[in-house]
Amino acid sequence: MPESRKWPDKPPQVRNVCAADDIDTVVTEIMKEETDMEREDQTGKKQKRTAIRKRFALRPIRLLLLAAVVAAAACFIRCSFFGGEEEQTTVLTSSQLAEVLKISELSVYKVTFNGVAAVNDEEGDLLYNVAYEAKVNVGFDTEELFVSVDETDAADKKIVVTLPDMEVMDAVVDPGSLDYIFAKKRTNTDDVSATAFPACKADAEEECRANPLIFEQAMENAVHTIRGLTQPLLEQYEDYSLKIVDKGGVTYE
Amino acid sequence: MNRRTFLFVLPALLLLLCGCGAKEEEQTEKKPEISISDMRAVCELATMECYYHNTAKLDSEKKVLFWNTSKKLWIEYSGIVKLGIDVSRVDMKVDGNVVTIAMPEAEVLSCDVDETSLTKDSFYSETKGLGSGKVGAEEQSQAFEAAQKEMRAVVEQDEALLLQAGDRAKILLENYVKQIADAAGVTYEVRWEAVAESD
Repeated sequence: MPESRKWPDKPPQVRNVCAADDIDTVVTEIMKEETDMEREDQTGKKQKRTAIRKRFALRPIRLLLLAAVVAAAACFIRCSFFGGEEEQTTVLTSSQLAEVLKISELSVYKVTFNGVAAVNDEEGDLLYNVAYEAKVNVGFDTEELFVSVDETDAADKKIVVTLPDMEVMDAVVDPGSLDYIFAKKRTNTDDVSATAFPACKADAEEECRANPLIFEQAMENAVHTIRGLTQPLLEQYEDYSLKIVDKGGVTYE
Repeated sequence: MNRRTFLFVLPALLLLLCGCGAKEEEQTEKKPEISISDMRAVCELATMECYYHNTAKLDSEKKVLFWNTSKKLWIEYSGIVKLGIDVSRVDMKVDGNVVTIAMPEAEVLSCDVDETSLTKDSFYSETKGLGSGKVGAEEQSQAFEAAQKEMRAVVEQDEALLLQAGDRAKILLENYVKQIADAAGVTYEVRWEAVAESD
């Protein structure tokens, strides 16, 4: 039996009726009970309707609360990985002299390179590309310079300066110029510079060596430098003239 | 959560994450060939090569939402500094058998990183806090740049070292004059004077 139709706790009183006025009373009472039942039924319906209305009213609120939580989570993720406040960075450095070597390198030509070096793993797969700026010095070791005299012609004695071959003295990579493009993000490690620096240096030196024009220009400038240093010493000696040659015997005028 | 709620939340979450978005990475244009931006004649006589033990300590702090995060990077490596003179500013005057050479003061010609000193053991890193990010190439470049600048500053203030480099340049130039003199069968006396600093 539905709840709305539930009988009241006390069943209707059933009495033996004999007289006509008693019948009216019973009918009245029955009608009254029916009215009460209907009223209760309607109250039940009303309560049910109220309960349903409440439930539907709560559902959007719950959804809004959930959306707010999701928005907060997304905001956190964004701030953690893609934003946040500006970084404050400090760098403390120290330098201590460890060793001093005596050298005698005369650089006669300087080339500034903007290049890109590729770094691969042991299997030949690309790890990353690194763009860099490097300055390459080309020259020679002055201790390999040889001075001799050619007196085969007594009237035209020559001081012969033999220049060694021009070579790459050093390739200096600017550490602040390194810019990386990683094939995979996980290759961006905390020691990636250990492989990047040598790769950039080797790349710059290789590119320089592949360009013969650089060494030709360097040789020309070396000749000018030696002539500039030597000519004043021989000006007062008319017997001697200066001849500059390379290791292959080529004379430079 | 029932299916209806899930279907509402999922698109909202995706939209929020996509809408916030990561910073677009700037793509560095990869040049297929090396580019030479400058070629010029120089005349630098490097007379000393100095090795420095350098350390760089980078400390980076960032606030994420309500808490602090930090990243630390330490690098230990050798830096190389070459000292010498600009030979193009050397002026030689000969008077009889006296050669007067005006030579500029020694200076720092180059600062380099000794890549043979860089190994995996040269780098130490630490990160703290959720959302701190990891220590990568950018931090390393910053640390190296600062360390190289500091090394150059230290050398430029070391007058004794610069004097030594200048003295060695004098020895090398004097040896060259002696070689020419020996070849010509003459004897030269070398005298030195400083070049006035150019503006």
